[in-house]
Order: sequence, then structure tokens, then C-alpha cells
Amino acid sequence: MKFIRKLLKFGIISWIFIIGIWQLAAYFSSPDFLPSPLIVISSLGDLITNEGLFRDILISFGRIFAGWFFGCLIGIPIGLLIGNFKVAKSFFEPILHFFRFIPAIGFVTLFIIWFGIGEEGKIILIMYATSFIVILNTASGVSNVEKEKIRAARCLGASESQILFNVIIPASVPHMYTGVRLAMGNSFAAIVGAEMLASNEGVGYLIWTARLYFKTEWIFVGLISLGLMGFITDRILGALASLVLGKYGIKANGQVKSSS
Amino acid sequence: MSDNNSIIIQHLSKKYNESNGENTKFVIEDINLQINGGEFFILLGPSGCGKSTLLNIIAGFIEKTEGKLLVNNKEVSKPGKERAVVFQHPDASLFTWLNVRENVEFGLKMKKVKKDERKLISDKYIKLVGLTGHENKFPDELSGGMKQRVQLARVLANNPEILLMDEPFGALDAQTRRVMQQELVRIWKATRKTIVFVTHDIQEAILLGQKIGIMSKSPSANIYKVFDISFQYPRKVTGTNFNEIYEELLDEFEEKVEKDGDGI
Repeated sequence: MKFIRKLLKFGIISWIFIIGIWQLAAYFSSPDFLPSPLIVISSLGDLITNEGLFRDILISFGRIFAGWFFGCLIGIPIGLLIGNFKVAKSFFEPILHFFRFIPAIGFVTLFIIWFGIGEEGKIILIMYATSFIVILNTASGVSNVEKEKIRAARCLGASESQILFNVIIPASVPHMYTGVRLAMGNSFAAIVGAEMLASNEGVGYLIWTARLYFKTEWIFVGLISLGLMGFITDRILGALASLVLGKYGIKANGQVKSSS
Repeated sequence: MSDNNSIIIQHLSKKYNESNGENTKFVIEDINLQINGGEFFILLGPSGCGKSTLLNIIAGFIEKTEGKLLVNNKEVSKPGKERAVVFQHPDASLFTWLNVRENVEFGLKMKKVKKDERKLISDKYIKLVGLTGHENKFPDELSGGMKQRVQLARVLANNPEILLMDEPFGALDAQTRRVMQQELVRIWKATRKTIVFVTHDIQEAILLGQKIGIMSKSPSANIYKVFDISFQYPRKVTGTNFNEIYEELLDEFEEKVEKDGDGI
């Protein structure tokens, strides 16, 4: 029983279950429609040596990381402005609540016209996908800072700018982190759209071109790569955050400590 | 009479505007009070009577509607370093990302006091509140009573003249509470700050205060009687003089406070 619980905890049973269902379903269909796990694995060698799978992964990841990084760089200050100043809130909120309903992928064609099929367009697209969630989470972090903390700082003689840098920003770190982490997920969603339409390399491109060659198994390899990239990035981000931002309430597994 | 570190309140009222814009009600109305420098003053009243509102006005956190508030003979309406607040919930008011020493040094750091000097001062007050050895712990790692000690050290290190305390022991268990009450009397005697202490607990009021101002129920609450408690510290709940005053206050509570109010 203990052994099974351990397997369950590490997700091994979930994966055996999914792969089992997949294998079973593949048994009843043609490999062009649903290739079995074995076919997918055997196509992996071909993809790595002849099609440069790792290169595609690195390229996609580079775009994601750049767009995500700049998106956070823009999103955090705007979120702080919105959370702290009523004027900024009234100015940004109508814009935010309009654009957040337009998914990044909707901008792909427009960005091709504006920026061509180069790197800029894709990175800007990911910045777009990233910044909203960072802005909203940062702003909500600021408005959730307990008024007692601000009052305490004020009667200890802190000026308004000292309160911003020494109380409001550190107290909103967990919310900012949540935004940054969710934004990483959004970036993965956006990159695939961008690479499908306007690229000749990257994981999204691999998925898109696979249909031309009727290589259904390549699609599976692309999807699994994306899942693994996301999973690993999220874990690394969580580990880094707990290492660097532990005292702000981010725990070892990257979860945010619920405020008591 | 109005010496240093005193608080003088004249005809002070606070009205909150209700959402419909009409029907404005006074939370507290026409409060007159003088708290002398170095005095341990208790604001005693039932829950929700507006004691905290009054304390927040003295602290400068919320604006009064009418009347005068003088601290050190000067009218004040904003928070100031001479008035420090110890809040009821340390989890809400302590800086959770700073350790004990950093919390205690916060006010000094804001004033840009040099590191060596900060350490001397924080050492002194960490010792005074009995937290020596816990300097590097974070608030999460401390018990409720210890957190309140950090709050006390944090305000004392900033050298205020007046301590405003809003039911600071309300969330502690009975045992810790008793210890903290004794500690507070000891610290007050060592520092001779003016203390305004809000509580709804009659026993706590008698154990701590030199004067007890009794507040009636909201709306339009005010302080209708101030008791002088002159017997010696350390006070014990088992003493005969304690019981006499307790009975007197309890009668006052039952007669005025509870029957006047339109609530529970």
C-alpha cells in the first residue's frame, strides 16, 4: 500500500494510466490517425538526428524566455502603478479589461504585417501574452497589503516612497510571483500559435509541418516536448523562487504560502 | 496640567457617511478627555463601541469629523513618530519578510541611522522585551506572545512618547496574556511612556491602568466616566481592592453600557 501511494504521489500511476489508454486506443486505429506510444518513441531518434528536435526546443524556449522576461519587466511596474495610484488605475483599467479578452494568437497575422516573420514579432506576441496576467496579479498584490503594515510603517516615520519600497513591494512579492508563474504558461500557449503561422523553426513549426508530411507521430513528439518544457521550467522557476524569495513567503515547492 | 506627552481631546466626534448619503450616524460623539504625560490610560468599552475608532483618530490614521485633538499641546491630524501604535494582530502588522532584528530596526532604518547604532538600539529593546536570542527568527517562527513582544520592541526602538495599543493581548491565550500584562507594566515603568490601551476586558483594565475611561455603546458613544485606580503595582486579581473596583466597574457596565445600547 505504501509503495502504491508513493507511485501515486510521484505521478507514475497517472502516467501508466494515460499511456495504457493511449496504447489501447492506438490498437484500434491507424497509425496516421493515432500512432501508438511505441511509434512515437521510435520517431524520436529520427527527429533528433535528422530534424534537429533539440534545436527547435532551444529556439522555442529562447523566444518564450525573452518574451516572458520583457513582459514581466513591463508588467510589474504597471501593476505597481495601478495598485498604488488611483489615477493610474482609472487610466489603465479600461484598456486592460478590453485587451485581456483578445488572445495573443488573434494578433499573429497583424504582427506578421507589422513586424514580418522575424523574431521581434514573436517576442512581442509573448510579451503581450505575459504582461496582462503579471499586471493584474501585481496590482491585486498591492491592494491586498494589510493596512496595518502600511499604518505601522507610517507611524514609524516612513515616507510614502519608503513605504512603497520597504512595505508595499516586499509584501506583494507572492502575488507578483504567482503572476509571473502563470504568465509562463501563457507564453507557451502563445509561442505555438506564433510558430505555426510565421516560422520555419521551433516546436510550433514542427507540429504545424508534421501534417504536411502526414507524420502524426511528430505532432505527438512536439506536444510532449512542450509539456515537458513547461513542466521543467515551472519546477526550476519554483525552486529558484523559493531559494531567492523564501523569506517573502514562497515555499520550497514553489507554492505561495497562504497569508494567515 | 497639560504637561509633556499629554493628549487633550475636546468635543471630538466622528461621523461615517452611509452609502445613501443621508442618515449619517455618529460613531463617537462629543468626547472630552485629558491623558497626562507618562500616564497609563485604559479605554474600556464593549465590542464595537468605537474605542478603536477613537484610538485610530489619536494615531492620525482616520480623520475626525469635529472637535480638537492636541498632542503635546499641538493640534495633530496625521500620524507622527511621537505616537506609536501596537496593533491587535501582529500577523497583519509585522513585516513578515524581515527577521526580529530587522523589524525592530525598521523605524531607525527609515531615519537612516547608521548600522552600528541601529544594532545598539535594537539590542537594548530586544532585551527589554525579553527576545534576546531570537533576533534572527522570522515572525512566522514565533508564538503569538513573542510576536507582540516584537511589536513592542519595534515601536520602543523608535523612541515615541506615546504608545497607542489596540487590544494587543486580545488574541492571546489566558496564560500568555497574564505574562504579557505583567511585562507591559514592567516596560511601562522602565520607559515611562504615555500609554493609551484599548480593551473590552474589565480585569485587564484594572490590572494595567492608572485611569480607566469607560465608553458607552455606539452610536454616539462617548467617555462618560473616568475611574482613578490608585492601588499599587504589581496588581493581583485576588486582592480585595481589586474585587471592589471590579464590582464597581461591572455595575457601571451593566447599568449604563449594556442597557443604554440598542444592541446585544
